[in-house]
Amino acid sequence: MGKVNTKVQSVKKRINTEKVILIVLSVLFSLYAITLFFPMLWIFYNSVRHGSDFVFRQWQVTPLTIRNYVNLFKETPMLTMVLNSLVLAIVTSTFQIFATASMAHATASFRWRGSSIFYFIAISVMFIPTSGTLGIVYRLMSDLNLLDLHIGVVILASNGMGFSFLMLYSVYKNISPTYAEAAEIDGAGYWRRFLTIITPQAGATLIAMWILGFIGCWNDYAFPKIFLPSHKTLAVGVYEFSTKASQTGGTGYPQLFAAISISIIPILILFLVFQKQIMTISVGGGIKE
Amino acid sequence: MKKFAKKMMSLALATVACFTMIFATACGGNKGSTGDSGYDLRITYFDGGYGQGWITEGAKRFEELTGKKVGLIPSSEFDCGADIYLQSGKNLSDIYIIESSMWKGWVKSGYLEPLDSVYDTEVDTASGKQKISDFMDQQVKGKYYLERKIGNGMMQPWALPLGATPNAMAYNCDVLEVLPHNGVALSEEVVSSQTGLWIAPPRTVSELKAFIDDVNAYNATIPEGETKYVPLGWCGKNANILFYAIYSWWAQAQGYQTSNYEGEGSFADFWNFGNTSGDTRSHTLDTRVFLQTGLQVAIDTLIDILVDEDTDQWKNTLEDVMSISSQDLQKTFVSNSVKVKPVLVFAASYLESETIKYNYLDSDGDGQRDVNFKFMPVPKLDGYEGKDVVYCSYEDVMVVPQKATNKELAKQFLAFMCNQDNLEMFTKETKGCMRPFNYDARNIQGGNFSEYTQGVFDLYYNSLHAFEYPINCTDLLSVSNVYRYERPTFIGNDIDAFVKALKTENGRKIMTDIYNSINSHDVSTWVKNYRLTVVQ
Amino acid sequence: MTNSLVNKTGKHKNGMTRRHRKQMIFIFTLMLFPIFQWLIFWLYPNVTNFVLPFTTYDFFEGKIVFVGFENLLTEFEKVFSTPATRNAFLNSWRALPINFIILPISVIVGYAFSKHVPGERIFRILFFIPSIISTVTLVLCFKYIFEYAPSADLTGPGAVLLHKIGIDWHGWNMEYPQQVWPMIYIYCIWAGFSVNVIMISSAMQRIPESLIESAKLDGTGFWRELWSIRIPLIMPTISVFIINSIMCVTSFFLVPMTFMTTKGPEGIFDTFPWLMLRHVEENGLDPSTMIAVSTLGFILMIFLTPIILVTKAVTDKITPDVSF
Repeated sequence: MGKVNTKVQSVKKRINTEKVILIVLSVLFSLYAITLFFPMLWIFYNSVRHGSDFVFRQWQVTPLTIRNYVNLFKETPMLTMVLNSLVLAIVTSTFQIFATASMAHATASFRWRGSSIFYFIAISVMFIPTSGTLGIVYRLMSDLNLLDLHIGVVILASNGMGFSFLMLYSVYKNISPTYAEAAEIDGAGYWRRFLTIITPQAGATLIAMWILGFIGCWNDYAFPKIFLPSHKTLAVGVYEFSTKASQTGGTGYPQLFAAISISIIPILILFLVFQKQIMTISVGGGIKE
Repeated sequence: MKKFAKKMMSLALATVACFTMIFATACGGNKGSTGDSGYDLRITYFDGGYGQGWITEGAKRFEELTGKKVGLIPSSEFDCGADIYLQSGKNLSDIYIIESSMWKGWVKSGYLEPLDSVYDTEVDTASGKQKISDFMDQQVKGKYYLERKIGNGMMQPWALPLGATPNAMAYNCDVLEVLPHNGVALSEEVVSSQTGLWIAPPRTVSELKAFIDDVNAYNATIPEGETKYVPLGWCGKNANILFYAIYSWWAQAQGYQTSNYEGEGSFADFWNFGNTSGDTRSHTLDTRVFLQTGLQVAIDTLIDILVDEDTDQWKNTLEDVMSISSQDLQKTFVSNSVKVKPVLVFAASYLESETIKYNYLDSDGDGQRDVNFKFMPVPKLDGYEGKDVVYCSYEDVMVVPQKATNKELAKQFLAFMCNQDNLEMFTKETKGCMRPFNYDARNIQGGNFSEYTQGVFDLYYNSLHAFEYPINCTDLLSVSNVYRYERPTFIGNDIDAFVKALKTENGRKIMTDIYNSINSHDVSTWVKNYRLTVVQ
Repeated sequence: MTNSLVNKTGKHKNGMTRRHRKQMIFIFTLMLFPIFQWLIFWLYPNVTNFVLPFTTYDFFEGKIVFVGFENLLTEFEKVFSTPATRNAFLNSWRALPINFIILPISVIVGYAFSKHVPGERIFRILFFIPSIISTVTLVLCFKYIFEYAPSADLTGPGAVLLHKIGIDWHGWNMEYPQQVWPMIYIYCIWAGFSVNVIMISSAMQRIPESLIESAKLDGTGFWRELWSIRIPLIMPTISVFIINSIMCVTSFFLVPMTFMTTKGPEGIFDTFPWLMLRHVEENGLDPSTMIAVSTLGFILMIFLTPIILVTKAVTDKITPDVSF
């Protein structure tokens, strides 16, 4: 009896220690969360202040204004940049999931000789490290007359391989073939079955992948900067604003902050609306090799 | 309900996706694709620096003369982003006006049209008709000649220069007038013996040092809370402003065209990088050019003024000078809205027009400019007896693409803009910028040029122009390929490292030890690319 | 219901049924775009990337010629002899130790999540946010908090704080790389660890509860459980994370570029990927640029590949041979 009591006591002690550790960690996480949001809030707050207030009365409470946002759209090609980002992100992520879904469906849903080769090709891009292809790809895009065209960046970014493929592959593999077979018997062709029966069953994953693809394209700096130089996107534009802001002295910063806020807020909203889907597929399940 | 909302969202996204896919595939066109219908001549120009007045007026005059419609397309990039259009040949303008030296690479790639016929065209000048190639500043002309293919032996002109911008210094007249001189008596021409105040800016380096000491002393008497002064302003973020002084002193010390040091060549000779061959397939490279004594003298003079030997920190200038850009510098110089102001700055001829553009001149809005300032030459080295030496830039050019639709009209326009009345119009519209042709901007009627600009003219027409080109080289074929295709400076591309070295090293160490050409320049690449023979 | 399949079945010459042939045509059409894209934009560039470092561009003849190891050796030598190239090379590797600091933090946070730390749900959402905001924006947010540029009238709250606690912070000043780089590290950790937390915590959550329970009964403490049980069992996930981190070396440019905008004297802030980007931006259409960029990548890969292989071998060795 005494032995059991001791064991119970020691277990209780361990649980208490664990609770204390978790509470301490919770406090640390809260502090971290504050440091995460403080800069964004500070930037947003200063984006709705006058430039001169920001410079000369930084720590005082001053009247707010939306002038920076208005000026941003009036004096800079901000609207074009937002539209460019939007078009690029929507079209690219659509092409991406189409390419990935096609590849996954072809290799997962059918048994045929050679499917394993293509499966291997599709996942090999994840394992083979490469560096230095930028010059070659640039030259290639130029030779194919795809340089400085939206569709060029879309095609370049729409590979159906890699991690997304792996995820969709396992999703398609787990889709029960019953519905498709029934549809086949009813006379539905391959495309019909793919688009109207199989794909909706992977709907949740596809939507989440689309959203992640959208976010990735919206935030991308390198591809639009190099391959779409005449049509600046938001990420490229914000970077350029930041290099030029210092030239106007401190009073130009609130307008830059307005640009930064515009590049954050839509993404935050998108994320908060769809956070469940996004986080479910971002889990990835971990890789078992 | 949530499911329905999500379904609606998906449907909306799909619809938008379809429309944007159609939109994206259909458009994705390049800038300039709209608005080019109905134009006989399309000109894309970098919309900065010179402003729009001159090109708009030029286009108008050309239209009146020829009846052809001219379309003007401004670009926010130095090279008009022309790379892509030149390569594809699509949506090409007929003329590109750029502030970039990228055009030499375009020649190599075959994207440009040679301008031999333009250079041979006769234009109207004050002394009758002259060929453009004769009317042009003869020292500068050679800069725009290249071989279409390296080694083919045919030098052709590929660009026309746009502006000639002298770069020197500017001084704050208001402070100068009240600045007392302490120390050794100076010439009556700069310091009044009656009032003991400065009456003209320093003309030599020792007068400059005295001026600097006087400003520091004056600054010490200013109570806290009032505007303070530093003697000399420069900008760490655009540190090539230091070249304004270095080139001037370098040419003075080394010899502008004739060398003062035997075996070293003159300042002009430097820019040929020791080439002795008149056959572009067998150029030589003599890296001893980087060891010119005059250059070390210039660097040491600068270090003496800007660096505190004991602490290895900057002196006589703005705090945090390394984080100041050229616009920041302009603002501190002309505007009263700052707490610390430089009395002297390194300044280009366009200082005034840029400060007008950025609204720095009248920060308190009382209708009068905050600061009265004038252009001045970089003070001469002590003992130098010749003319002032001014560092001039001639890097902005006009080029015609090889695949342009209206090449002949484009060339006609370029030649038209070289008529003297159009050159004078250019100078008027740009508020005082000259073009490198043999006309005198001081004689322009109705120019209404400001005092600052008149000071620019005075200096430009009474000085030796120091710039990057081997003016002693009369044979175009023996101008080094390194100059033609690489345009290196004396320190390579890493100006930040040079500025950092100024703090701790001296001129000799910088040029012979740290910055001997092997390390700071890509000599091995030059040797390989241009098949150079290295002499030393 | 007629079995229409029976009528359609009929063997053809090559043994493929008509149905099978239709299926193969469909599969082929499906894969057309992805495979073509892969061939043109992955296979071709990577194969060429392997060949180009052994060539050079002849300006006089205007073509690419094979030169063996000459080009590679020249560029390699610059890594040792030219300060600018050497700094760019060494700076590219700074990404590596940063990731090895991030890893334990991610693991501890992930562990805390799987132990249902108070506020877990909210923290999961909040910590995800850095990964959905663009690097440029996030860097700028951090940068302006710590901005210190008195000549431009700008002092951020972070700079004020640092000065108050006695740190002589000079701002994002290229004259003080010894201050700037540690701040960049702090940024990378601040923005970087949360990305992997979700993956790690869900990998931990897949560990059978029974294992954990029996460990608890054996008297395993909080940290002991993490070290001896959880970490070994999620080793595959961790090893993927480690390999990805090592690969970050090939794309480490955006962070220093956005902070400093200039490569600094002697490339004190430069990296190889940034150098490659500048080559393409300045002279992308010149064939010599392709060769220069490929050579830089090749030099990186010479060092990266053995590191990756060794890491993989080591992590495979210390991964326990269990399945669950």
